[in-house]
Amino acid sequence: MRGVLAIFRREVVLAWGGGSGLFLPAAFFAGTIFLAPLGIGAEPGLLSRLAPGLIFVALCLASLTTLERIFQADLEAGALDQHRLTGLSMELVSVAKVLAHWLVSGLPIALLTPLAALMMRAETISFMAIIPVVFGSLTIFLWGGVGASLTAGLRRSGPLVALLVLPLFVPVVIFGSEELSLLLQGESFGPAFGLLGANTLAALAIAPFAMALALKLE
Amino acid sequence: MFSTFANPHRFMAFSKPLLPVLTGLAIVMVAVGWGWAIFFVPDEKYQGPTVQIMYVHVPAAMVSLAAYATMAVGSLLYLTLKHTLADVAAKSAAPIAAALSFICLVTGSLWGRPTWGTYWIWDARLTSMLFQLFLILGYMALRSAFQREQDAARAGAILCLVGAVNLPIIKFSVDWWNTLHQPAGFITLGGSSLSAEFFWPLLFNLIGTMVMFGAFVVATMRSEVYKRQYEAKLARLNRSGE
Repeated sequence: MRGVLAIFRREVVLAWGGGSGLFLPAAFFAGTIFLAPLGIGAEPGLLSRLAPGLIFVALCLASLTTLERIFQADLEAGALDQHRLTGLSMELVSVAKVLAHWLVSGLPIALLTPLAALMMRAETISFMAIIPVVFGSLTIFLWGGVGASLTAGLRRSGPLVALLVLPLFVPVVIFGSEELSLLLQGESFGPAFGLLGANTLAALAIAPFAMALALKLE
Repeated sequence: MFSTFANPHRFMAFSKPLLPVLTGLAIVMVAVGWGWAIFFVPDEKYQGPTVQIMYVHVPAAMVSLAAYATMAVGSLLYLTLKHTLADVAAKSAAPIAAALSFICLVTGSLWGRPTWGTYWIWDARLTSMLFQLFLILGYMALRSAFQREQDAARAGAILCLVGAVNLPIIKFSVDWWNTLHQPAGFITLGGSSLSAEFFWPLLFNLIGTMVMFGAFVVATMRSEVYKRQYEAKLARLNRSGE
């Protein structure tokens, strides 16, 4: 367990120190959100109705910008083999790496949500709006980690990862934007939030084993 | 039973006489089924002759689901028992599953225009079929990206199983999201909601499409086994030549 925690810390420190790792997906997210009104017009009713869906679509696309980096460098450098040789559970190692990646790239997007909703002329400013995006982004990064682990040994895997994982994002986009639109209208949590949480738990239960299996070298 | 047929040589010997039988049966059944549907089934009261699209659309939809299930079972057997023939089966079923999903979407769209008044609706069943097609295309793209066949087999099998777990969730979430497609009525627990003159030709066409799928899978599997045997032989010759 201490080894896994060390890996987690190393990932966070590396991503933080790398500079661009922290801001790239959040900047991509912000750029997408701020471009949308220019394309669809700034009519207040229309924008605030589209806001939840656009936020989740932008979240999915932003996650794709860095997914391929989760495992690739460590696999090429042989660090993953070292982890295995020291007897660490690969399930825990892959979850630690995905969580670190999410903390650096996914969580900032969730924290940006109230601002993004404000720019989209949402009716109320709600910090509760962060919560469904936290769960949604966690699920998206877990499934994205599965895609990243499957293509870790390949060069130029970005577009391929997108094709693999986008179908897996469907439930998150549906339940997440449903819940987010409730919260942005000033209502409280609805049943969609429970289903979103269930999806997160399912991803937590399945993704680590799929990633560990995919990273296992013959 | 799985282990008996897992031997590629036994599979090749067993499938050699099976393939012409399946192929002949598939051609006859599809020809008879379509002829029956086009010339002998009366027009439906409200939909007119467009109801004939059903005889392609419904079998394509059902068999494409069965084809994805074939891929999932093959992937599971490959991951757990390491039988390469299971991987050959999963790989061979993929393009056929993709083609059937595509046929289902196209015929559904053409059928939707006269009956619903639009080519495409973001309805639950259309949407989940579309995402199944994307999953299969992703599976094929992932496999083709790997150089070594074992890597492609393992990555493909993991993706296929993750997809198989997710398909019901996707289906459920899209159901929650929006529903306009009529609920399944062909085969339900309470019997069929179709009248007999539409039911029997549809059942016949379904079995015909199933047999056609079987013939395609066996033919593709045989050529895949030949290809692997050839590559293995080539590798051996190259080694001994050095």
